[in-house]
Amino acid sequence: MIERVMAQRDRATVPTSIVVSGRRFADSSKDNGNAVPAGTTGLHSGSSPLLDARRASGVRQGHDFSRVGVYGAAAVTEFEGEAPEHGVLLTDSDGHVGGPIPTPPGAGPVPSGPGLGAGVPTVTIPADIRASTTPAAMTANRIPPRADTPVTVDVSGLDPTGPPVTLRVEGSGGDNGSATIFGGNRFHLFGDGSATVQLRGTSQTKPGNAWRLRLVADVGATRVAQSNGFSVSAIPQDFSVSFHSLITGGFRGIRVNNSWQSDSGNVADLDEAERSEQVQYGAGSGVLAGAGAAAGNSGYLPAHNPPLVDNHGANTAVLTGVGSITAEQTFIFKDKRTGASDIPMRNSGFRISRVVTQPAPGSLEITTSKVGTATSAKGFASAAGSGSVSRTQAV
Amino acid sequence: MQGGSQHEEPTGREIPEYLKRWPGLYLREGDRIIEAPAEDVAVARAYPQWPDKGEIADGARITIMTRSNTYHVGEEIRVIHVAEVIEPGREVYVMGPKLIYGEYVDGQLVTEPPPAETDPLVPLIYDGPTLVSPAIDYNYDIKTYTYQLPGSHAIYWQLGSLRSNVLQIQIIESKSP
Repeated sequence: MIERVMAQRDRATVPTSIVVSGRRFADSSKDNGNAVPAGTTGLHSGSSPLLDARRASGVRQGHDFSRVGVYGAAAVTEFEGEAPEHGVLLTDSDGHVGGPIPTPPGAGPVPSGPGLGAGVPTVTIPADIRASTTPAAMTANRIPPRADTPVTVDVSGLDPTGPPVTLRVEGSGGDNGSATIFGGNRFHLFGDGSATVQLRGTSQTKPGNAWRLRLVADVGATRVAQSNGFSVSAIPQDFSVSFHSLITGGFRGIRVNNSWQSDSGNVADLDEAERSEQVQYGAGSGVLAGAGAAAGNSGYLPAHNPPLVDNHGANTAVLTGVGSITAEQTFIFKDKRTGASDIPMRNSGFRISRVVTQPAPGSLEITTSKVGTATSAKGFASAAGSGSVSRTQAV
Repeated sequence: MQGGSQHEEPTGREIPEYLKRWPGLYLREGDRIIEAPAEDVAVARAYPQWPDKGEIADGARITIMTRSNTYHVGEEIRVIHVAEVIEPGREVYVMGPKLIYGEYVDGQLVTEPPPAETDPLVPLIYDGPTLVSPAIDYNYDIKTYTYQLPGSHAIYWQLGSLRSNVLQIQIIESKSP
């Protein structure tokens, strides 16, 4: 069975291969050095055992895809004339043009269930399109802008002589947000097998318009599979701390720079997100026993403008003897684009400790520390943030 | 809302940017901190236009608000507390909900007094972000009162030199079954 692979050409994003039927069709000469996310199947250059065997046999088996640029401008330059909008012109190893693959007609009505009829392939798309950075507590399906989200699509029973499976993001554009597949508006699959495609948000969903994007698969005019709705939205994650300044005067302690990242790689994308600190104290001891009774949360503050300064201070009026107290701190976020709220931020756990000692009679010192720690505060757990700050001051 | 007379609310153009901030309103439920009920949120969000705020002292003011100035016997009165630091360049400690000190009902202190010789708006131990004033802080406990007899009651909140507005609460007979 001849297996053909086509792609919506996008000159900006040029992956080099895709797995279909467990075989890798690669153009090793076209490796443009695109970073490949760990765990993504099939997206790396190189030859396949099947193709190597075919070449070694000296017998022409059909289209030698190792010599055809499947994606990108490189494929276009092999031919004269203007390339079709969809797909690429395919040639065999002798350079004979195979002709453009016809663009499928517009998608038909969404099928109401299984049993689509004889000859219709089975295509499986994940029900939930979610970036791996999405916290488990966040029920809204979303992908970030600017970063790829791999999605595995399975095809079986496809007639290789008929129209391909066409993947696209339905609803893309405007207030819904937009996303591409391998940088293009649609992606065609020929042949049975498992393919990992890369979705990338290109514009974020406007608040109030969540769940309106959907990854769909059509064969000709027939909808054969679709995902649940999802959105494009950046979320904050990966907190870190660094020293800002000492607290002096009537207080002792430290100010630290709280910084965090966006899973899109650009914190400016967090303009519709907010974050809130959660702090929970232990019992404390000595002069600091019960000192944290009034702790809680900060309420929601903007998330697109790190760093923010955190204040960890103690009034000298309470530092009258030895004692200690520890506080756990985590962060949660709200995302207006998806409507999610009170979601624990990944890697945002810290432990804040105060220890008052008496190094000499009549002399007190306090050591205030903040260290990234996997912990929980006010019911919100998070893995450790990064960084640590510790300072000792005379009281 | 509190106050039976009509008053003209400032337009959005007149409200300073820092008063447009809405961080949410929270209360304690055991060890948890949860969002306050929508009714409390509605009262708190009226602060920018609230006609009877506390007097400004030392660059700040504190204000208390209720949904109404008339309640039935047995009906819960929920008091929202807001601190506004108007003098620029000060740190505003927004973690909470902060315990209420210095609340008076009918001239009697009904809470712990504020810690002596300290800035009443600065907690003794603090871990969290601070805002640079001018800034507003809604993160105070919501105090509740219930009365079993009709009558009038006056509530105010005092922290050192800061004294809030006075809420005049009228308790009337219960509604007929």
